[in-house]
Amino acid sequence: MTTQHGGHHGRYLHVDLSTGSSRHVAIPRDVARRLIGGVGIGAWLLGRHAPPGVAPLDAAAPFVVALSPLVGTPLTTSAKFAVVAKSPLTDRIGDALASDRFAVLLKGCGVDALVVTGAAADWSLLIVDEDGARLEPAADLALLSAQAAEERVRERRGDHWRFFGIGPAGERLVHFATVSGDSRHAGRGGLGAVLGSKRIKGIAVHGTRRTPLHDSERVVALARALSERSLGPGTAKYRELGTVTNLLVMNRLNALPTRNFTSGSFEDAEAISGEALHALPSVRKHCASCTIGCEHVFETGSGTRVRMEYESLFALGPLCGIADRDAILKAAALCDDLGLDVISAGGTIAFAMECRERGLLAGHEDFATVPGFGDAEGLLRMLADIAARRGAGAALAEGSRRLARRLGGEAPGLAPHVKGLELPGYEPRAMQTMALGLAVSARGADHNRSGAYEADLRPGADRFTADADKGPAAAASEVRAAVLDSLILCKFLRGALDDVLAEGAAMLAAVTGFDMTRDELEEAGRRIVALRKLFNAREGWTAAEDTLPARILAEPLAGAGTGARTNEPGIGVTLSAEGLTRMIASYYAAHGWTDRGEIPAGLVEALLLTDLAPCSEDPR
Amino acid sequence: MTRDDVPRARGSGGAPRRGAVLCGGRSRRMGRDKAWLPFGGERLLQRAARIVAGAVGAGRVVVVARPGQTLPALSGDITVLRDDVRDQGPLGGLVPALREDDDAPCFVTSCDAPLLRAEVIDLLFAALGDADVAVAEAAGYVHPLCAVYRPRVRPLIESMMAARRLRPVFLYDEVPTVRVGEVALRAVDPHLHCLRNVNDADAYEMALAAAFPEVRIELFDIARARAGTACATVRAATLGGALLALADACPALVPGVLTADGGLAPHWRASLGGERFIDDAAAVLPPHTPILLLSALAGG
Repeated sequence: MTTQHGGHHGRYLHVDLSTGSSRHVAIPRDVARRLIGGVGIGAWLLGRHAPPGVAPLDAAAPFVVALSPLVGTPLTTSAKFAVVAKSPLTDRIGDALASDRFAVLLKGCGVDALVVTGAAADWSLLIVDEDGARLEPAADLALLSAQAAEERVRERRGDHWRFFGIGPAGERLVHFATVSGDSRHAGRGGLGAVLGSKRIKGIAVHGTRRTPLHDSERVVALARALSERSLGPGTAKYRELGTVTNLLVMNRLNALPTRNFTSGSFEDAEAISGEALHALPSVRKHCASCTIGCEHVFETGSGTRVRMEYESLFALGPLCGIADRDAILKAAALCDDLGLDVISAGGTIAFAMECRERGLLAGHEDFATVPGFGDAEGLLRMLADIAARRGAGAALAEGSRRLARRLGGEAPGLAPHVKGLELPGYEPRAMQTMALGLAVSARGADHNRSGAYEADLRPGADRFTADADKGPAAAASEVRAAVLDSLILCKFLRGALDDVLAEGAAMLAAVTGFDMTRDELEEAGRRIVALRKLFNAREGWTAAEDTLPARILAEPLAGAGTGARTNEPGIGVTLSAEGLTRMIASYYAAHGWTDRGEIPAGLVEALLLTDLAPCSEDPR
Repeated sequence: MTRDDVPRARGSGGAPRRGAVLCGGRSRRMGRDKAWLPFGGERLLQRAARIVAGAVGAGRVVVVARPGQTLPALSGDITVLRDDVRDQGPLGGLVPALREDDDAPCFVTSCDAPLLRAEVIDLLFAALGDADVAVAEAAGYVHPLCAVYRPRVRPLIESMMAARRLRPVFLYDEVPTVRVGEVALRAVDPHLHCLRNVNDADAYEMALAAAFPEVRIELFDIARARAGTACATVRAATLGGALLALADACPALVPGVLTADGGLAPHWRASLGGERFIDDAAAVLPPHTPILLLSALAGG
């Protein structure tokens, strides 16, 4: 059975916390077609509602939750949503994804997105249902973890409600605070601080309105086939062991950032590896509407259950020189409870640790509590101090870039960030296509908006050389990611899809009724990449931001190897500023941008972005 | 007569040749069908057929297998004959091999001599002259499955078998036979590897060791979990050989990590020492360089 249109309600809900008002605003169908949903629609709404130059934690800055046409369908992994705001870490676009039934219930409220501006007078819970939005006092939720707050809200409102909110770090405006629901975090970029700046502890949603599907039989058939493939070999790694096993892979490739990027491998990697974690009792968890079940939750000796992924393992382990498996588990659990992005938390602490070891903290009495590399107790203490903005934690709570600026001297060159966002677990010198992806990504050092590491692992690729031919690979990777993040489908499905673009187009066509082709979807991906870039450009981006930490461009790659361990690949490899510039030039060219990385007016027009570009005046 | 002065010239002046590979034995001591044993990127039967075809010409090789025996994939120009020759000694396999309507002399070997060399086959054909049989002989033993036979000896073999006279020397005593001795053989095969049959696991390992260097394969993520080990050691010269040997040694890796024929499953990568990724089965492995077997799905 078919209906003419499906997948969208054709409107979003704009809530102004300062006035207490809310209103539905139309999303033209052609806009939905051009930007798909998720990150695409979210970037558009951000540009539409954010006054130019607005401070990320200013009341006027919008906090956007964007759904996608696939939400609510039986397509596996589709219960996802994008959170989009101007990042307090980067002052550029910040977007992060999460998976939860929150997406389904928000869509059930009859909207495709939620835009929150203004700030509440007191700590509040934003209630959204089919009748609109309203505030409830949330003083009783103060300083609770997001999970505890969620339990409290569901006790109060019933289990059919879903909650998405912040922990103590978000309340205290830690610049890398997360927003989470059902223990799944929209982790990167400090979007939890944006919600906290509005004095919103969380958003509780409940709605049951169904979204029509254009061709429900076709959707069901596609969903059945996709679910079947999602249980095949293309996802076996995630199902059986999770991403934690990446640690030993990266270590062996000398691509595991260790002790704040002073080495590409860690001598104690085996002791803290995913394989070592799997010696513990563990259970597997699934996100809502997901057949894969990538999340592996490990039980510690004290009975605590901790979810671990590669990024949390690398950032709280080797990056900080921590070789104590149980301490890493505790640190990950603490980040979950406090609502801290593990990558930025680990990255900022590792940076501070190195500063301490180099004597760069001498004379700064408030940094006396910063631990050295390998100090597990110190790591746990520092995480708590960051979330409380206590002692040295107050400075670390603003991320490595601001901390480095404060310390001055050689510190800025050692700070592990791009555009203010801390680097994920890929040593750039050992994966130079990924280095390019990290340098140019709109939201800062990022492994989710660029999967360029895949190009480094291809047969024939030279991952240790900054070839000009790496540009097209990095650009294509961004386009694919933009499509997946706007559809929204989990990237862990990519191994189960033969052609992400062709199959994505088929799903979108069946759900929405758009006669979407592979080429049109690819074009939409390019458009979304460009739109995010246009937002950054409006906010002051220049090509000088597309770079890597100075130490990455100055120091040769080292390894843990001493004595018998001399078989590490890539020892002594360098990534020069000239090499990076060469790659960036080829990346800009691949996108059709100018040699300064700007998007020519003709391309804006060709991508049908003219009317979607961020507003140039204050929308208020 | 035994000749040690056989000319070493390759080929026999264009005279027609053919070859036969026998693979229908019981493989009792090996405990598994030897035709399927991996050996440098191919199975023993595939290897033997390839080597023989290299010496006698394409389309000139037959394989003699048991009825119902499952065989590895063979080149399309190889004829498979089915005959149950078990328990009939080395001569048993000759009858079907020589049964074809073809007057060309036939080199006969078994599939379990992986170190056979084309030069040895050339040597035997060159030695045949006007005789009916040219057979390798070393240390006082003749090797009836490293020999060339004229088809006209087939009726005699059949009658010998009917009389249960199964020892090959009975044949050699009755027809003109050239015994190609050690000196001639060593001139083309200094260590007489061509005469080594891999009848048991030890002999198989020794043959592998003679042919290929040791290769260490490091296993990561689910490859490690499924194989139950962090590394495996195989003998191979090429990536394909190493992966086929690994698939054979760790069947749990098939099909999720490796394909049954030793290829990489989708989403799997092989890296030479972590320095570069390769996927060409024919890629020659540099010495002392481990292969890393890891998932291409590296994102976290």
